[in-house]
Amino acid sequence: MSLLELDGVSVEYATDAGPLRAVESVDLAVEEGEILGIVGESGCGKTTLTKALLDLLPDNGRVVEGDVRFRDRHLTELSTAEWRSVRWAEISYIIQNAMNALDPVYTIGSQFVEIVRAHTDHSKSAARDLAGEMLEKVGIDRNRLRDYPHELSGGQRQRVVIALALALEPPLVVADEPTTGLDVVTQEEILTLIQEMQSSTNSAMIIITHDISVVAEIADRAAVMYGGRLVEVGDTRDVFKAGAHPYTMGLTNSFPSLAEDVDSLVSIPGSPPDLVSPPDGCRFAERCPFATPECARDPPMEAVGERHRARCHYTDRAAEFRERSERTETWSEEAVAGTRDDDPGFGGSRR
Amino acid sequence: MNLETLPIELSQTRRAALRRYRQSATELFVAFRGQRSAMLAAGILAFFVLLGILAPVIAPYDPTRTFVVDGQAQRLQPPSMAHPFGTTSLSRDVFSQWVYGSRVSLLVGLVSGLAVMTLGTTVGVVAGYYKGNVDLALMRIVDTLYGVPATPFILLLVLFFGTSLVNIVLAMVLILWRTMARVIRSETLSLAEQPFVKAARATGASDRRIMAVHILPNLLPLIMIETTIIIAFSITLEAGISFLGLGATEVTSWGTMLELTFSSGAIRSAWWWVLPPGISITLLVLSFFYLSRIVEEITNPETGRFDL
Amino acid sequence: MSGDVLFRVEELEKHYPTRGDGGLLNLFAETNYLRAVDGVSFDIERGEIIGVAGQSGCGKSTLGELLVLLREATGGRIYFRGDDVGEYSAAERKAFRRNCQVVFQDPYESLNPRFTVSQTVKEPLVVHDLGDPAERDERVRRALSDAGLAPPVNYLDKLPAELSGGERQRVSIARALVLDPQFIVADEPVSMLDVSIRTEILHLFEELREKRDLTMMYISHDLSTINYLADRTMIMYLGDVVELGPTRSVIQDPAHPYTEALLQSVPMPDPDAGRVGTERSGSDIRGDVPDPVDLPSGCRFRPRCAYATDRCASEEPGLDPLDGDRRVACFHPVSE
Repeated sequence: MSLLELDGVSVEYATDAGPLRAVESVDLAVEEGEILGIVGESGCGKTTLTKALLDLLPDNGRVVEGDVRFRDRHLTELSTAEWRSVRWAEISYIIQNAMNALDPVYTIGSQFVEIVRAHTDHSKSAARDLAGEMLEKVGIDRNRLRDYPHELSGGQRQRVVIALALALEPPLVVADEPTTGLDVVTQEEILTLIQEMQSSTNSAMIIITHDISVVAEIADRAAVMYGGRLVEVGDTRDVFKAGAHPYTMGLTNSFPSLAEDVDSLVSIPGSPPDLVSPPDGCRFAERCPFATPECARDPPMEAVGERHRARCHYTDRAAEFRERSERTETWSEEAVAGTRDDDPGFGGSRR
Repeated sequence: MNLETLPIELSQTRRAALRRYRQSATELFVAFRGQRSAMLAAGILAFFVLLGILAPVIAPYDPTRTFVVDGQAQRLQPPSMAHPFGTTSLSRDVFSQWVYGSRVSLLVGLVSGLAVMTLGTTVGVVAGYYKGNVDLALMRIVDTLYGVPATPFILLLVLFFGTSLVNIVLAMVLILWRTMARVIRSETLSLAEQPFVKAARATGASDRRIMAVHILPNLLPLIMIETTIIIAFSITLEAGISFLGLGATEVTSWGTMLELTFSSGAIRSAWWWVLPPGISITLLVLSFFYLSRIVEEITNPETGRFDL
Repeated sequence: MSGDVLFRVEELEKHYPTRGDGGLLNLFAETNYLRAVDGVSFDIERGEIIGVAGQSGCGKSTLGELLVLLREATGGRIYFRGDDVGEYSAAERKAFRRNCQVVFQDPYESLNPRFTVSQTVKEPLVVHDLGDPAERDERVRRALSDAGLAPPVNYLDKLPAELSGGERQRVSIARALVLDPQFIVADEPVSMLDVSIRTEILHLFEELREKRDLTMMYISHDLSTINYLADRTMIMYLGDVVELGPTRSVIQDPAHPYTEALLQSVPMPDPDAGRVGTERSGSDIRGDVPDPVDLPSGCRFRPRCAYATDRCASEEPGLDPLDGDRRVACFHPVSE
């Protein structure tokens, strides 16, 4: 049995313009001890999904369909009090820009102790010892427990936050954009740290990011989201090297890297769909160079390999598409528009 | 008004701007209407403003006119048909005094408010934009003024220079602009750091242009909030000064009315004389404070949905 | 690249005086200086895109601002097309601004929230009093199309709040283009944008270089983007340029130990490249960036350098030629 299982989860926000389905029918599982990276651009639903998972949705957001199961509990049915026992001890959360999440008027030590004691029956000194241990594990001298957050550098604060998240050795840690906004060197440190900590506590991790190189670096499995839907998921290597969804292909080909032979970068024309009135059928179709009239019909999740699936009608032609998607001409506006012209009734607006 | 059939030629840009203002004005009005307390505050303000404007029409008598009936001075008369709010200890009509008194309070409030707004904003923007020595010098002045206790200082000034309305307003402005300057300076400091200001400098815009065209319009919401608060405060301050007997001698303000109730000893008995000015001051000040809160909510990018 | 020198920078400095922690004794303490930019010298050729890379606090943003006169240098000289920029009269400075523009990182804060797109892009023309209203409208339209916002008429009356991050950044670019400048400094222009928009903007820069003969300084900490876009690359560390050369050489065959270490930190979007946690060769640059106030003696990278010798402690290396058109500030370059 998986550690965490999302079953047909849909999340809706009530907005002035009508209900907005930010997440649509997501099926995802996370096993014990594995690192899952969820990638996608703004508006793809990854942050909403995370918040729904952790009961952190704003007032106008609701999980309208589906179930979230963690071990033997159904997270969507937990009360606030029950959530309190789950947070930190079973599931912890590292928010974006975490280094600013520390309360500036309390010392690091007192914040640690507070969290530990709120979720365990450690005594104050035991909690303090644990805090010291955790700090050392993340490479900070334990004397700094007496310091206030502003006395530490940004990178150190980020490490403190990671230490906090892993202090109680929760089986699942969710990290939202843990390296965004960081220096490339600090980013590497944080990623190494995350990997080390994760392997020593054997926590499972979900890393949400728009930076696919982070996922390539440390995730065991990768999930790609687009327009509120899960479009591809599988082992990282499979998703990156043998991607089966055109969006994944476009994404991997549009990332600059240090590789010597980077001569052309692809850019996917158009922009993500409006989730208040999403298009029928495949949501990526209007930007997809391989779309056909068939794509007006909702594509099912097709199995592509072992533990690898993609939501596309043409997964059998993935190899051909991958080869074509490396060329910039494939993604030109005209080429993408051209494939849709076969069906005049195609919807969607372009900006 | 149909934008398409306007008799004047509007450029595309102006049309779009007009459309936008109409939209937000309508939204504003609708939201306003929805909030009962907002409507109440607006109503109270409108009431007093009308009272002040139409004072000569509404007030039945000259406020300084004394009344003698059958050789008897009509002193401290309770409300009657002839005097709906009764008379004062000097046989004057309370109602007429009250009506004219609204003019003083409103005038003082608005004039001080506007003067403080102009002075405080100018100093605040210049200090916040130029920083360095200019800022240091200007803020030294402001800080010194901060050290001065408001009411005693104003009283001293008024005592020294005379109790005309102009002097009172001047004295208040002198003290009140310090808060405005600080608040505006602080906001200017953060605005001036924003990339769009740097970009304006990079295109070669002069400092004056940047302050006037880029910074000032973005300060408007804050200025409006502060000014409404200052207006409320000035009204209270003026009433207080008048109550202490240093009020303007040429006009009867609500504060002066209250002063006389106190000094004549009638304050405990002549409720008809005490209540109108007392309640009016409270209501007017409260509604201005409330107005400032409404302005804040409207212009707050988090909660508000309007672009004023 | 034409071989024509657009900018020549000589020993450019920007030092900020710092006064310690406060307290009476500081009256007698000598003033320390924060050397944000510490004597850099280089050329920029017409038509090239020169990348400036380094960690936060290395001085790259300050350098960009110095070049477009958003900050005053405290030492050194900048020559633009042969003229000493420091000797400019006020009128000449203003004319200089027509030639050199800037694009910033934050698409949200780079635009005046109360200005429509049309007003924002028109602003430079108004400031320089160029053209009559009809001409201005035409130039605004052209700048918007060149920046990829087509048809321009759809965008003229929009406020920044109504635009996406990518669109806002294009408006900033249009604003920079409307004066038909020769040179644009772009400071992290794509780091706050989504990946697919990033590539579009990068392509846009390439197009602009071709179409408008534009010279660019591209400042970023993201070496992958610089690898893609820049012709030559400059690596900065603690206020100084430590390496300068054709991008391909600098990135594939780094000469300076810092460059070598920096490149090892860059994540690759390729799971097979498995780099994180692997054994490092070379210097360890993890941990906090040292304080640019208290610089070490000799080479400023010495304390962290894996190859430092005694000479590195006593002498400071200059940015000396290595081979071809590469320069490196190191006594023991690591290049093959």
